Amino acid sequence: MIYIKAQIGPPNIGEPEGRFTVQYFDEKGNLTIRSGGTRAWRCNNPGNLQASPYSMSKQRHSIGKVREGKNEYAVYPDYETGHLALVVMLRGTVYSPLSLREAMKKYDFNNPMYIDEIVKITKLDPERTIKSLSDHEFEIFWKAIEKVEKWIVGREDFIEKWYITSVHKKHGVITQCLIKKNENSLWVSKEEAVQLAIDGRLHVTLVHLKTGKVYLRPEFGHKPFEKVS
Amino acid sequence: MKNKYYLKWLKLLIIFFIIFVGCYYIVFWCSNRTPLVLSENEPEKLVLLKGKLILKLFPGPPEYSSIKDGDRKDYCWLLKLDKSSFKIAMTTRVCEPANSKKNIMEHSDPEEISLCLDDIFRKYCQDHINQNIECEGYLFHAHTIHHYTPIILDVKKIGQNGTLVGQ
Repeated sequence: MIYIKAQIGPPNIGEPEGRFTVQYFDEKGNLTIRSGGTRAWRCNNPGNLQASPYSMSKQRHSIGKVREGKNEYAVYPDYETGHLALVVMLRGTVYSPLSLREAMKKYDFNNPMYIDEIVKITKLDPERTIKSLSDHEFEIFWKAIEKVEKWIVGREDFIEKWYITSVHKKHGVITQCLIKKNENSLWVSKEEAVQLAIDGRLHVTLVHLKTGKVYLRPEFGHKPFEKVS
Repeated sequence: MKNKYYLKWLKLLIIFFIIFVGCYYIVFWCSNRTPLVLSENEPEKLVLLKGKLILKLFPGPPEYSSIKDGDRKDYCWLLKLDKSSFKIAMTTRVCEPANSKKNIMEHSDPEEISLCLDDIFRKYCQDHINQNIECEGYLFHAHTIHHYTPIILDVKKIGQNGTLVGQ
C-alpha cells in the first residue's frame, strides 16, 4: 500500500492530549490510522526529524506533517523513506565532518548521556568523525540512533473507502445505494449512504442544495451510478 | 486638453505604484519563505548574542507533550535575546537543515534560543541564571524532536560585559 497523504488525528479516547494519532491516506482514499507505539513509528520517522524545508523537501518524499504544541514533525510514507531522510542528513555537509560526540551533541544537546548510549551500543570511538566510518560502521551507528530514538510499533486500523456501484431511483431521486465493501455488496438507504459520505467512508461527491437537500454524485472521473430500478 | 494630459500621467503613476508595491511584496514574501541556508563554500558565521539567561522546563521523551502524563523532564538553558541580537539571529544564514523566517516566527517565543552547551559552561549558567549574559558561537536551526526552540546557538564562549571565557 502506498500512502500519498498524512495528517494528524485526535488521540484515542482515554489517552493524553499529546498522544496524537496519524491518519494515512492511500491513492484509493483508504484510511489507515496509527495509534500507540512511539512517535517515530506513528510518523514513519525513525530519526524523529522536525518538519523543516530539509525534511519536507521534494527529495525527502515526505507526505505531510503533524503539528503538536509548538513543534511540527515530518511524516513519511514508510520506514525506508523516513530512514533515508535521517541517513542523508548524517551523511550531509553538517554532520559528516563532526565526531560522533559532537554529532550527538548537536542531535540532542539536552541529553549529555546520548553519546554514552551510542558508544555502548556501537562500541565505536566517540572521537571518530562520521565520514571516517566504513559503510558497516555507519550502519551500526544509524541503527544505534534509531534504537535510542525508539521505534515501538503500536496499533494500526485500516478503514476502507467504499464505492457505490448501483442505485434504486424513484421519480428520478436515489432511494437506495448498493455499496461495494471488500468483496461483498450491501444495499443501504440514501440517508445511510449520505452519513457514510459525510464520515469520509464513500467515494462520492455530496451536493448540498440551498433548500437543505443533499444529493449523491459520482466523484469526478468516475463512472455514473448504474440505475437498477 | 490639459486634463487629459494629467489623467494620462496619473494613470501611469498608478500603474507604476501598483508594480512597485507588487514587486516589494513578492521580494518580501520570497525572502520570508526561503530557508536561511549558507551557500556552497560559504563559511559559518561566528556570532555574538546578548540576552537574559533563563532555564526552562520542556516535556521530553517519549511523547514530548506533557510531564504530567509521564514525559521526562528536560531542562533547557535558553537565551532570551535583546532586539539587536534577535535581528542577528534572524538574519544569519546557517548550514542545512535550515528554516525560513516564516517558520521561525510561527513559534510562540522566537526570540528565545536554546544554548547548546559543553559541561564547562553549565556551571557558569547555574551561577548566572536570570542575568544578562553574552554568548559567542555558531547558530543552527531546530531539526530534531529534541530541539525545543527554532534557533539554537552552539556556544563557544560565554561571559558578561565583554569578558568572555571559552574552551
